[in-house]
Amino acid sequence: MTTIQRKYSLPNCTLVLEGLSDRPTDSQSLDGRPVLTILTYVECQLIQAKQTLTGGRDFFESLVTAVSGYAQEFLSHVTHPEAHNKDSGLVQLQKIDRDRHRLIVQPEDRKESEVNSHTEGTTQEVELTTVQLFDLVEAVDQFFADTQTLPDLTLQLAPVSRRYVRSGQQLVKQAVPATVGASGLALAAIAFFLIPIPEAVRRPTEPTSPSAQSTNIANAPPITDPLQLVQLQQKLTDQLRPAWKPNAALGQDLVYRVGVAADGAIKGYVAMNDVANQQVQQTPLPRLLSQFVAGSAATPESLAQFQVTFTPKGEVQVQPWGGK
Amino acid sequence: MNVSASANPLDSSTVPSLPLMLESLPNPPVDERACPPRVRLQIDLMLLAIEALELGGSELFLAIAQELELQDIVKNRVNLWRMRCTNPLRRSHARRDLSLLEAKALVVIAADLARRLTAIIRQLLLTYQQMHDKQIPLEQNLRLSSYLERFRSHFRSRMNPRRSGVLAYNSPEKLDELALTLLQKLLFCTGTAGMQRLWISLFDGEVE
Repeated sequence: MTTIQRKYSLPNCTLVLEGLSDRPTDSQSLDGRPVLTILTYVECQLIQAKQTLTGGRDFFESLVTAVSGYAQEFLSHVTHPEAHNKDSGLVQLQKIDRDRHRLIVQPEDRKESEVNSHTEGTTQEVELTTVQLFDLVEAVDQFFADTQTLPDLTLQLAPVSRRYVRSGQQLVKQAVPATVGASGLALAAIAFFLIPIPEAVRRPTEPTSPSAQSTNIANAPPITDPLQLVQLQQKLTDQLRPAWKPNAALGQDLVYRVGVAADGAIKGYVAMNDVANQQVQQTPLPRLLSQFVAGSAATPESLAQFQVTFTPKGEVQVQPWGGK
Repeated sequence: MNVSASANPLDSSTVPSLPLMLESLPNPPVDERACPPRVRLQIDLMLLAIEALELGGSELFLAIAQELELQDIVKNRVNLWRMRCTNPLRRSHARRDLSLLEAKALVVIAADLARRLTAIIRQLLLTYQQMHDKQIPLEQNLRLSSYLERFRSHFRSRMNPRRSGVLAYNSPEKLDELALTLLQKLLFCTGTAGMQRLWISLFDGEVE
């Protein structure tokens, strides 16, 4: 058996695979190249970063998975689980800022070294610019497109599930110390108290439904990603608009500050004028308030804040909070 | 690159047959008739960035549509404009749905154009990186500053300043950031699997 070498070259990245074929020679493709099925050695040269990463099959699988996941994350700004696989993956990618990315490679003998507590190899970190990152992604994609090299590894692309987006945020939440331990109406009242309009605070709304909770929306870390804000604004509008009917008896606009979680759930609201406080039951807000989830109410979740105005004519205006 | 996707005769049961190009993009599990708002927004912004890179924007999109045999989906100027106005940030935002098929056609066009513009996209990003590292103002580079300037003016003239998503870009700096982010995304579209990657990424967080 002769060693087969495959090379994918980009200006900033050269990926070299060495291996053997366990297929009979007559299964060669039309271009005469044998199929590389057993990977023995991988070298990934990051030329500008002046670093070379080497390893075997485990390293390579982990590399292509992490790179592929991170490329998707880069495009969508939605965290991709495969880019940050700390437990099972040897390779991870992290964003440093918009233009820089960090590739982290654990040594392949990590598992034994954990037992010995003496690290055999050392963790390698490489900083990449976005163009360098792209070249790495492209080298990986050229490998995937090459049917004569490790045909068992194929490019698998699927959108990140909404559920993961949500649970990913749960993890973040756990890292934030609990600030409010109260529940029910008490929690709602505290939330109201933190809003700098006291007249709305003194008369908390009637408990809207026994299980409804209002997260402390004023203290919640804000969601700042503009694209996400647009999406959430649209979601909120779509939820509220069909549920609001003209009501001439009101005589004036009902204004609320509404906190919305990353998944679009309404997490809390505060009346911003007297009439809004009195008439909250007329609005769809109490009904749409996201249900209390045990253990999660006390820790602040990232929220997008909007000013919502219900007009007597039946219009619903949703604007970003503080941006008029 | 001339990709002549001939009408697909393989599966004659589906009428009408779809251009081959679209078959490489799988249907994510969302409503086929209506793409989520973020998808509509992202696609329109990518096209906007291409228009800032290359003069002759919408005519160019139509020419590519012809070339890729997508003219049954992207029919004419008005049709294209209506699809793009499904972007919720547009001044002339139409409460019309963008079907998956239409979205695919626009993504194919964007990715194809990005591939043709690979050299300039890459050059602009390398220039940007160098200037950024040396802290040289970006205006000093003619090509980069004209891209940013054109993007700002396209964005301002077409997006509704009263929408929160537009408010978030109320300064030239923030618009430049957006223009550069989009340029980076276009670079990723130029790759071997760039079109598929872009397509799938549009639905991140939108599926169960």
